[in-house]
Amino acid sequence: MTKYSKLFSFAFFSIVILLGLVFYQFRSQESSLSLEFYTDEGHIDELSGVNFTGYAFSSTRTIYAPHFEFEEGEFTFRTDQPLIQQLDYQYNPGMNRYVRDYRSFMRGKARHLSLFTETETSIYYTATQSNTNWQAAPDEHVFISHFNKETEEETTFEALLTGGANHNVVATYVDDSALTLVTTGVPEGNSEHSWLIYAFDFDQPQEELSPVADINRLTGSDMIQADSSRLKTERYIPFRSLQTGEIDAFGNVIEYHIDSYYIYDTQSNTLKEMPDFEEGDMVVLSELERIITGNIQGEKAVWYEWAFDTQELNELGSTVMATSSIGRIHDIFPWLEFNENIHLTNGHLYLTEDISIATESRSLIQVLSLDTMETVFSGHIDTVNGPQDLDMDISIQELSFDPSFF
Amino acid sequence: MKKTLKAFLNLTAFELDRLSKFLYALIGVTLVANMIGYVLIPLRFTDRINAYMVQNSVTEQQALEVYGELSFYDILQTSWILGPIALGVSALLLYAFFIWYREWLGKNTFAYRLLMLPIPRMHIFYSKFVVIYVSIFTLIAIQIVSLIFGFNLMSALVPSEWLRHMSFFSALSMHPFFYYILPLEPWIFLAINGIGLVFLHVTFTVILLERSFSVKGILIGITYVLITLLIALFPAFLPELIGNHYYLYNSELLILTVLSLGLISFTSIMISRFLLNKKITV
Amino acid sequence: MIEITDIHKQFGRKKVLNGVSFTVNKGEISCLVGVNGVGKTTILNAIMNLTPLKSGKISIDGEKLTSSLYNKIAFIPDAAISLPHYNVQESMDFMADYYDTWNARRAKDIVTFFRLNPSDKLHDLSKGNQAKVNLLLGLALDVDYILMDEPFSGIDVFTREQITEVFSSYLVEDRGVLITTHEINDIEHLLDKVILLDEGKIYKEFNAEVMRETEGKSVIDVMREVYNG
Repeated sequence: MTKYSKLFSFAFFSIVILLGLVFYQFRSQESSLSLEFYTDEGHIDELSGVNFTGYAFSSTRTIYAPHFEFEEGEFTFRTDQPLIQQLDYQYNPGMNRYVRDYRSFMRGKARHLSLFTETETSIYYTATQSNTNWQAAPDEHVFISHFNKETEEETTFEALLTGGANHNVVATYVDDSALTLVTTGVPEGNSEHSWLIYAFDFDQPQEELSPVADINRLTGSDMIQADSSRLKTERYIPFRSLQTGEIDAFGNVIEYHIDSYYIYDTQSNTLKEMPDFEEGDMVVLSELERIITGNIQGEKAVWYEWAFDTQELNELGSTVMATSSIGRIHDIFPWLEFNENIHLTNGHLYLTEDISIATESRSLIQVLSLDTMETVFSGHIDTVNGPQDLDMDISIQELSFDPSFF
Repeated sequence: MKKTLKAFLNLTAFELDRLSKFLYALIGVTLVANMIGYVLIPLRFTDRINAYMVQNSVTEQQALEVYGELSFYDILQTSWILGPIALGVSALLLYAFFIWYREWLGKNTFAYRLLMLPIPRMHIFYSKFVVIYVSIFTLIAIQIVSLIFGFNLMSALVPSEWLRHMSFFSALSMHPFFYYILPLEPWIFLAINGIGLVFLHVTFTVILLERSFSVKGILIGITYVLITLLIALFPAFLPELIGNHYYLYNSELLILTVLSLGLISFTSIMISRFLLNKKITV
Repeated sequence: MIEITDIHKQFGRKKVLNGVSFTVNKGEISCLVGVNGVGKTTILNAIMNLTPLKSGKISIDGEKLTSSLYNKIAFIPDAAISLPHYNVQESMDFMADYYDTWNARRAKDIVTFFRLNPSDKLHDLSKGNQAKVNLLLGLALDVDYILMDEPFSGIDVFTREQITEVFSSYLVEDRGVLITTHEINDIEHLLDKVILLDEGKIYKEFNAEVMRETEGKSVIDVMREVYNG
């Protein structure tokens, strides 16, 4: 034994065992997780331009809740990305695309998709200081940026929102240079939050903006939700009011009901209440100049177009839904937005739902064409091994659309 | 072999030799405690299931519904496994101080000998440094061997239908402790060891400050620790300071953190070098 | 030549060395004398870069002390400097591992001369024998200069005689030796230079032999004059 034998033995032993563990782990990985769509109807090409993130959670496998992204028809895992990309990863495909493609524009901007509106040529960003500085309280100053995708030029304005305080930008709808800011804030002379709408025009930028509408006041309701539009290029914005339902022994509301649906016209700044259906669930969406409403009873849905000016319902046809609850959330809570599981883009309805297979859950997607009233795609995400992997939940979390595809 | 490398290996081997008994003791405690855990927990589990089946005249399935299936994760959570790790971590932490102070304390002033060796004095610094790291990795390696053995032992002691289907690596990955100390995720392992490396550099520097300036050195040492903490945490507070949490990307914050830690290590090495060469007092 | 030029050192507010300058030449035995706390050990430590100076310069053959010069100068302090659980042989092996100047033949001679048992553990040795091991580890190096701090401290008269013999042996021949001791009588006749320290300065530097012949005073007599006023 030389004097080095102890040192070399310990070092050699450690290296061999540590490398051995890495090798053993590599070999014993069940086959790395691989996801695919199991198509029931149609073709996966119908999901072009549809991006989403999600997670595959297993309580018993080595792969511990890896987040995946679906973009351009491909599944990629966050953990497969280079470290730097993993660190900058946002659990939202739209945000990831912006960070990847417009990194310098995104610097200093809050990574909430709702603050961005994208058109084919531009990206708009509207936020208050509290969106980027977590210590700052919501205030009346709003920063509005316009980014020209082609020239990569950014124009920024700061405007004062008058007529209210503690603003929070929920969405910004865009029509050329005209912006409609949907905010929540406390109107002057009031102590409760309200939905305040402001208008801003890039061609005639104003330093002070006054509310063009107070949705709560117009509806007479103190519980209002806005449509969670993904594109925000629509002229009409659906809102809905909620009513409290059952109250528990401690006085806490444990149930909410939908009261009425409303449509706000961003051009005339007027709000109209939509007619209810007597039976079944009601869904209301909009796209460009169209307002679509659906009456869903069981697995059958009848779709209508509603004319804002004449307030007439015009039946478009009926479709068969993949399940009796797809696209809707039955436990309603007074979140800011609704329609998280149903989106209307390019004349197609994109509906999602987590369904149960045995004891596990899988995400189901259905795409309906309002032109043909046909299901153009229906399928669920599963591992390549399929139903054998029953110890795993797979769920879609954030769905967004790439406007360049539509 | 180059002369300075030979001298460094000599010194490292010498330091390891001085540490080896202590290391053997830690290895012994780890293995014994782990073995008890690997045997005791499964036996208790099977006894409990069997007793429940007999007392309540129920089937195996019904008993399992009451107690649940056993997993390796359940064993990992016991003090038989976590205790020796905690002991090892704290013991090596203390040893990081002892490895220097023993040269001055007691009847022996071996510091005379070490400092008068015809080798660069930073060899002394790094031999002690390497020895601490060799010990850490040896203990981790021993723990890995023990865990592999324990997993197989549990599988042998408990009927397979009483075991929850959970792979060896799943059990380890789910455990926050093992997730961080074992090389399951290369970046995590690298980050943890990187932070450890910086921590050890700072600790050694503080010890040398005390050895050089006595009581004043303790105060300088505390100030130095506070400064290093500020530098290390600076990237984490930077978004707050500039009032925008999105101005810097997380990757950029990581790069800043790595640079900060690198700066701390470099500064600590430079200070230690200066102290060992110019200020150290026997 | 070891050249000490205007060195200053203070512990807290207390000035221990206040502009000390002297040289140690090869082939000479020099001795630093003075009462306790006068800074003798501090000077030796400073020469070996074991304590920092406030100011001043120390050079060995014109070079500043670096680690490689430890092959040129050896220090035998007044404390055990090998590991207590080592035996004499292990202590020698340790030295052989690091020092190019380790002379195994000379080491063997010293072991024989001091009648040391290579297998004895250091913690089992008497103070006298521990001092011998210290001398062994320093003297066995083929170095040009040797510094010794109180080599006779706390050891019996017979061991002291044995150690004194070292100073007239080939073991220190042609080397520059700097020694501090209170037991000056034992080696006074061997000293080439005596450096008397008082209040942080050199009070007197003289040749012991010449002092005795010209003024009829021993080193102790000179010390008495200085310290008793």
